[in-house]
Amino acid sequence: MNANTDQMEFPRISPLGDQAFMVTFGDGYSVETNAKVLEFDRKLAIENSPWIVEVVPAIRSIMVRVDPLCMEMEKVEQFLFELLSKPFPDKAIDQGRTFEIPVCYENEFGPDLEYIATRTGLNKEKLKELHCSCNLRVACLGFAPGLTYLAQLPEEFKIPRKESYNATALPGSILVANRQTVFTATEIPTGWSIIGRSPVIGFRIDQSPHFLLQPGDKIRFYPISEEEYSNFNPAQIWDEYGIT
Amino acid sequence: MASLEILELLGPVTIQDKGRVGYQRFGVPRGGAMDYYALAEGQTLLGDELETAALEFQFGGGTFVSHGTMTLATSGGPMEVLVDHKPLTWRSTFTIYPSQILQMRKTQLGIYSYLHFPGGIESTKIIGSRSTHIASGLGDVPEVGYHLIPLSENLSREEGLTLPEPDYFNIKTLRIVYGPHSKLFSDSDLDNLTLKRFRMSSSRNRMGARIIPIDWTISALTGKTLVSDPIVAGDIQVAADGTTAILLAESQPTGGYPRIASVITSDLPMVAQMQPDTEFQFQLVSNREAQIEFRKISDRIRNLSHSLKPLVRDPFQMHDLLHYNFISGVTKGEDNDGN
Repeated sequence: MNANTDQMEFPRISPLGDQAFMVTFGDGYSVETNAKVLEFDRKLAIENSPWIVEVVPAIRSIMVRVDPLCMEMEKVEQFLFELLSKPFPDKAIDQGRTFEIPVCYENEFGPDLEYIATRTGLNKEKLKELHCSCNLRVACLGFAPGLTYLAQLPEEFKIPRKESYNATALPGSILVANRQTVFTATEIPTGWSIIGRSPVIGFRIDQSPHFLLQPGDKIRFYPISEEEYSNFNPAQIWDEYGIT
Repeated sequence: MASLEILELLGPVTIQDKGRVGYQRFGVPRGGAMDYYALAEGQTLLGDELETAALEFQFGGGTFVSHGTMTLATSGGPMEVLVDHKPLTWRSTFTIYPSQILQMRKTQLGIYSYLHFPGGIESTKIIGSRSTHIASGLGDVPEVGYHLIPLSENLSREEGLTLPEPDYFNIKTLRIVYGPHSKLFSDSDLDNLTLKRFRMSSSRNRMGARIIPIDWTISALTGKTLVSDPIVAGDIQVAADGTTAILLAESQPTGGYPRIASVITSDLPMVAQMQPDTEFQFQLVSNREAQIEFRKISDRIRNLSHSLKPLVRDPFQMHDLLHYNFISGVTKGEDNDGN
């Protein structure tokens, strides 16, 4: 390991490939670091520079991809540097919408809830209650279309990923590992624990906007029965939040 | 409606255009053609915009039957092309007539090859692109029985047009730039990265290509768990077990493994076309050089139409002018209105 690794300061601007920069706000995962990512994402959205091709916020870093034929990369770096020190025009972190998302934790909807109960020593009812009591924030989307990383669960959920990566999480699954919770929108293989499933699918293929959630949005889950799950109309939540 | 029906596929085949730009923040891989230069060649041969979708072959090939009359184009890694068993020139336009059989078979150069249709392919467009992304269920999956429908109203194009073979199929040097994780690696790993050689493996798909360091190993950064950071195509990822791969067009949007460097954008077509077992070396360049190279390849793409040439040779060199086949496309020798 290089000697200078530990002396790097944050935020840090670094080229990523030859057409993008990555701005890193911290070494590890924390709500505070992610909040800085979300604030910078909002600053970039407000600037709305035409030569920015796309902005990709992640948990502790953000990528700014530009069209190098429209703007010199040296100038882009200078722009990012200046934007970092610019004061925020508003309370960026509080701009997100708040969503109430129903989750069925019963039987085959939450196959790993029992495993989490054993690991934590809490019973299933208590776990459901705890998971639904959290004010969660969309830290970022990644891995698969519409897959949402939510921050952050209480200490009780500090459970590592499972050894095997062979489980299949259906769209709408609620996964937990390492105090993080993930809300899927497509079918994916996973090594996280599957504790519930929502009838809400945050990605629709046939209609724009295609994605229900944005980085920065706030989420609260509430428990529903298997019957309520089957009676839930997945389209209703898009209408309810005026996303048409 | 005119179409080309798939009768047989001999390897992975997808529909690809420039991919889904702007949706990486929603977890959508960009995707798009593995060899963006070859995609542009076909589009230029047919006189189409650089936005259209083509059929992308990864090795293998396929057999098709035409339901209509249309001018098609080929580009990318050379294939053997036969229409009703008569061979055609690669990287050129040709017209196919109703009931004619088109056979495409991979040859020994390159990996990805393209078949282009007038105006592109009329297929499901999702999130601004027709690119097939099988894992996410995005775009059409071309299978046996699938009809490839040209998007243009006018299916006729100038036939017998060709482009010179690009020079990147036998490249043995890939240029790289350092990235955000480079300094996490040891000085000796960074030195070896450009001093020693690599072998391209046969383990590859549209997400990435595994590469094998020859006579050395990169020290995996065990004990250093990275939080997922955004990924760009070209990133050279070193996994926890030391497995090294160049991430490509369909790489996942974010990833937790460190990336020692990135292949520059202008060299991505070379990575896409590099055959298994090829021994190659990385060459470190500055970001400024990388950008100059990207400008060069962008200019070459924009000016491709100036390189278009008819397949006909100099008449003075033709011994039997009256019997010379002036076009590369094979015809049935009869009039046909395309229905």
